[in-house]
Amino acid sequence: MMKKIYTLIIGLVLGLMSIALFAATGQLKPYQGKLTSPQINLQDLHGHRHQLDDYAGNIVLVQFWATYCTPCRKEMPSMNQLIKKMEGKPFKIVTVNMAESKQDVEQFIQQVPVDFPVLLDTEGATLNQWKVFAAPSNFILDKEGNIIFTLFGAIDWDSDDMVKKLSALTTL
Amino acid sequence: MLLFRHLFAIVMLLLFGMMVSVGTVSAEETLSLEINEDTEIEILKIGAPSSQAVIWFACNQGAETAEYQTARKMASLGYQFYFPDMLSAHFLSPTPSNIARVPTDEVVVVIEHILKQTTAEQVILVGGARAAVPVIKGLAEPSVKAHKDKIKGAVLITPRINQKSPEPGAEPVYISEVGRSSHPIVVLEGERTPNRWGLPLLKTRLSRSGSTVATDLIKGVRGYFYLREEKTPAEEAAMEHFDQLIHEQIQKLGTTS
Repeated sequence: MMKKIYTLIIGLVLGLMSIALFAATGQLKPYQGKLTSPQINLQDLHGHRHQLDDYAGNIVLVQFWATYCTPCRKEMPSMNQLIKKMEGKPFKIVTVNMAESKQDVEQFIQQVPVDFPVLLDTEGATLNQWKVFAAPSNFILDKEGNIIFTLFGAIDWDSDDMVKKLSALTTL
Repeated sequence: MLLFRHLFAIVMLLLFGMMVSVGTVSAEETLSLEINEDTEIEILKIGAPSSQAVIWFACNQGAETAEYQTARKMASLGYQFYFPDMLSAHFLSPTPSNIARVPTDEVVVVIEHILKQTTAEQVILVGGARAAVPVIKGLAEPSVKAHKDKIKGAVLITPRINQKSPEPGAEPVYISEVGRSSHPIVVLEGERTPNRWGLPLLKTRLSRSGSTVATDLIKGVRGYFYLREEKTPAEEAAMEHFDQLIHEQIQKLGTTS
């Protein structure tokens, strides 16, 4: 019993510490939305279906983006670099295009090659469920698939600071 | 010979009519409205007196702005335009934040003044991007709301009326005046902007106090496309029909929900 309480307290302390750490950046913010069990069930550009459950056990960056979003275009190479820097750690990136045509997205990806899945939210149902009204909209999910942080706008995802913070999350 | 004289007279009359028509359609003048000792607002008037007048709160001032060019084209469709320069009186540059800070009482004075001045039967308010804020502020004021019949409604073109940047996972937070209007409103949004996903919510919020709200997407364009310097081919094409598009939205006011 005591062991359970001890584990719970440690978990809470670590959780609070990580929230404080991220909130301090002024960019990543604790998630304040109401989506308790976020879902993704979409196909990528190659027709493979992706579900959020497939990523369980990983810290996941879910990004909603669009081809007309200039900041999205600029930051994507840094996301490729982030994957390299996080190699060996339980960390994944999944991106969701905001209801554009497959042809438009493919054309974009030819110009800006990416090392992560690009899912097509053809009808915009997923972005509506996640309440996305701006691009890029970023969500960080914990290993259980809960949204813990959000970030609006583009950043250098491979900065030392971000790598350090995401790495810390993977150890929780 | 007599036939020639008649023909000559008819041609002369036609030419005179065309000259008068062109002269009136392109008529432009600037009015000055003294708000108080320190503030004088200039209002550019484009087009001849007509049954419909448009008060357009523009993002920019200057002869070549998309708004003025559109007004000049629309004047021939039977509209007279009023462009109040809400910023120069305060020595402010036309930035989005400055436009949003325009005092509501000045917006009301301008609207009231134009309502008194115009002979038009109906007046329409237009505002785009951040300049939709003064339109929303004006429509929320009781003295403006009282003009139930004279003000036909408002057309908002890709409006940006958020209080702050949208947070992922949270509904947009609009300025407090949203939802306090009762006049019909039409919202035009670009198809290629994330803001389009907020349209259903915006419609609900805007209609809280009785406004009939219609929304429409402009195919292939980004938000506030008409203000962008570098336009895509689809946006250039949309500009060709921008005057017609706004004319159609004005006709739609109050007829659809």
